[in-house]
Amino acid sequence: MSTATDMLVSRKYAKRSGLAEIWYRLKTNKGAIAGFTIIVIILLITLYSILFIDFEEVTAMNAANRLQPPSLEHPFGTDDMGRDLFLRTLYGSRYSLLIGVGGVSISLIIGLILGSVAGYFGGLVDDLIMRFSDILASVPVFLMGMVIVTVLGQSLQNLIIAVGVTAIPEFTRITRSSVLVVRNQEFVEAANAIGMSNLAIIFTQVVPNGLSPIIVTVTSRIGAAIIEAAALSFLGFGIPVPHPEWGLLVSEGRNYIRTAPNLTYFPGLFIMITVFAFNILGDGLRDALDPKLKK
Amino acid sequence: MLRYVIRRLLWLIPVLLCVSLLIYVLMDLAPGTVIDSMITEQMTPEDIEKLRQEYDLDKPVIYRYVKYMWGFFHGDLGKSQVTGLSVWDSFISRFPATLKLSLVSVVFGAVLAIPIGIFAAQRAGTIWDNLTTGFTLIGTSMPSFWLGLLLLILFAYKIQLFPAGGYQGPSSYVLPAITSGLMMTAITARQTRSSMLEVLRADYLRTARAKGVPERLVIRRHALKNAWIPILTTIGMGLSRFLAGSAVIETVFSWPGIGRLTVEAVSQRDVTLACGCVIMTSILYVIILLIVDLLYAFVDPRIRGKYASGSRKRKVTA
Amino acid sequence: MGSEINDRTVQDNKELVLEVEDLIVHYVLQEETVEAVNGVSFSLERGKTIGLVGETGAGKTTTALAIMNLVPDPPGVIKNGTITVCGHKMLDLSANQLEKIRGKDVSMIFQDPMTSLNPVLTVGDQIAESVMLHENLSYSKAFKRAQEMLEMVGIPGTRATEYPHQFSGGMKQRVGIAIALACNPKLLLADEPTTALDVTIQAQVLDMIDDLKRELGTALVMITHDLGIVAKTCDLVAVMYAGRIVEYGTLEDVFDRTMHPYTEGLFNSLPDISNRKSQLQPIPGLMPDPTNLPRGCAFAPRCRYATAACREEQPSRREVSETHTVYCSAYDDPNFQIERTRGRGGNG
Repeated sequence: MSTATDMLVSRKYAKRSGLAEIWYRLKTNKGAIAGFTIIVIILLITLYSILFIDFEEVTAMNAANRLQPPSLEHPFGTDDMGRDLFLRTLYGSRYSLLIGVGGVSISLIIGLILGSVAGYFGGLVDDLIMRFSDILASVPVFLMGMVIVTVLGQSLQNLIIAVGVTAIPEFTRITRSSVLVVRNQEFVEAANAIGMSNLAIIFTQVVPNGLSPIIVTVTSRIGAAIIEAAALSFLGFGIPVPHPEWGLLVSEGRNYIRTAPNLTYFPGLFIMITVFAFNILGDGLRDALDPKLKK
Repeated sequence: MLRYVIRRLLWLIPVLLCVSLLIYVLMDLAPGTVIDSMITEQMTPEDIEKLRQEYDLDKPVIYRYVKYMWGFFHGDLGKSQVTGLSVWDSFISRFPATLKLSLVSVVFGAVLAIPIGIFAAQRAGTIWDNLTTGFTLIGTSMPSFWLGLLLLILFAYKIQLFPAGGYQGPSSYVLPAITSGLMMTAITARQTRSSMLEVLRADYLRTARAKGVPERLVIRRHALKNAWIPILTTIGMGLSRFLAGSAVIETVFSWPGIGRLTVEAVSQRDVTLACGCVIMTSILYVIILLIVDLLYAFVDPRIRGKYASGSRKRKVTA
Repeated sequence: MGSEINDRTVQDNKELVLEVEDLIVHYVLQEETVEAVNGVSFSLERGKTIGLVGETGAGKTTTALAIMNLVPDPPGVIKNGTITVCGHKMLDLSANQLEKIRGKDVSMIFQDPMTSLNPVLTVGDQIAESVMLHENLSYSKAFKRAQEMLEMVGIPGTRATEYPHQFSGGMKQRVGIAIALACNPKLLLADEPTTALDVTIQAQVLDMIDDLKRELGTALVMITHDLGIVAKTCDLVAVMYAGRIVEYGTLEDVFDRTMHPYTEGLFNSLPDISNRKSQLQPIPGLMPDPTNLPRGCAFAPRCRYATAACREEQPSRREVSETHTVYCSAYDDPNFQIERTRGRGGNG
């Protein structure tokens, strides 16, 4: 309903401008606040674990304490080596955060560049980039992750690289398709007509206007990267034991799934909450960045 | 249009060659070689050297790659170092399990997701929208292996309704299909809602309503058709991901599919089998992505026009 | 000649296709309420044309959407009023009943032809759709009709299988017109149908609407801010300001015997071809904020004749003649005349 409602929408937001408006909309978005709060809590937990929990403490075996059910002393119970699952879970938060943010940064930067260039220029450049991306994307994400970790060896850094590289084609593809949608619109032709350079058009017109799907992708990707890394760890392609990475914890718990399901519940719950926080924050960001998408 | 399809099909050849090269070289770089498991303590260095020559390990990787691909085009992917079975046969015998589970999951997911997404988009901002958005968010935030394990604990161990794993009879499909189907539902419903929201504001919907088109058709014929591309992408990606073997879900439910086959091969450093699996899987994946791409042109005449004109550079006149 | 005298006591034996009474439409947003239409009444006979004139934001489009009962909800809320199209009370009907009337009895041409056609359906299908819906024709017959409609608006029927992006702006608007006229509606709402088009194309499109209207006997509500278009096409004129009609009459009433200061302002801001030395006199100031309308006459802050009373109270309604109504308190003073009438000797 372009004329009537858009005028209203622009009216509605005309009082504040630019970033202030985005900030205001973010502040009033319950989901974004909730997501942000959870992320801050997880960051605090991470900080606490870095300061006060030793690696020794979460890896030392204690046969006497094997497979204790949750109690006041061990809120999440203990694992098959008598280690406290609560401390191990808290300690593990650092891995997921690093992997999520690090991995997505890698794929975002590369994918954004490749996708905008491909979509904007079209023709041979488009073909070359998309073929490159196709080749990368033709190896299913999970297999690619597995292969990369196998080749580079199991470590945190390599897991980040694996997760980052696998998402490059997705970012390229999505950036390109939003550029394609935006590109044919008239304001781009207008920018062309007033003699803006290609690069300037890409970054002032095409990227901001095609941004909302990319932001949705970034969001779900941080979460997805955490999940993907956890899944790689779960199958034994992640950070090596005895590091208490969450996916690894679930995989260890799986061996006792009938007798001690608590070993499965808690680390998985932490993965879910963390990913949920990023997803809900991202949703809020999207609404704040694009008022037209909401209502 | 036909020319475009043919062009894309021809493109598949170099793409697949590059993919297989990439995988082959990567796998080759990985620690461990084909012969590692054959070396015994009684072997002299000469024996080992002979073995190396037999497997061309003294030659450059490209030589081995070309030889491998030569075999590939003759239907010979080598033999698994662990089981000694033909890689080709192992892959083919495992594939139906993956195919069936993928189709069931995707159909289940899409059938659930599209109405949910439309429902939420039409009620944007209401409690119903917030509820569905909340559910889909939780769905996308759950690791599939965890959801799988939770379902196992509940339905296989606690109330023993469905088998905990394996591949016998329809009931064995239920838990794995629900697990991957729910993942699919959550992602697709979110995408459907988001692209429907974008389309629901469009002027042409007002035109349609002004013509007296019933609301049901406004959504189905006018809005959905414009919102299809991102939804299709999501579904296509989901399908290709499942087909590529949801290694995780297959592992959780002991499903004898290609995902689990690949994971086992890679963990056991069964290079020939792993390489064959990854390359075959990638081929499948590429074909699905191509079909999705062709579907774009099918749903959006503007993209079709672009392809039909032969030159991508030509701007579509407004 | 226009014969709608008084929007309240019409009836006689003329066939009314449209009657709008005391329409109030607000857009209720989170933080504020936009008072888009604040009590609009007018009516239209078969085959006649009324021009709704005013600046952007005067509530013209909202009025038209309300006639179709298509005000986007949320945020739009029709607070009051009755709208009768060919005997149907549009605001009381169910969605189902509305669907039968929209496109058949009343249809609308939209402002921006670039965005108002569905990009993924052929133009033929988009025209045929309403024919199929309202006349129960088979697809092939409806498509044939669509081709005829295209021919009627000057586009070769063979192009019916093409998509909107293959047409130019002017042609898209012709397609829009073909869609609107496909079922031979009794009432057509044209919302600035030529604003997005070239001047040369504008004239063609207007001529075409005019011819088709005459041919089919359609009544037309022409929404525009262009007085030239009004002079060319309309029998009646309603000048709108901040959601109200401020002056209402036949074309001659409003153009030759202008009463309202705002209408005068509109004329003064047009270039005068006969007197090349004359300066344009734009109306000073801006439209009032529709979320915060003044208590008195909305135009008072910009009006050079405004008195203290104008700022305090809503303007009084004055029937100047059988056909001519003005809402302006300045005429409470029997000697009041606006400059435009003074110069011409007036008739006050």
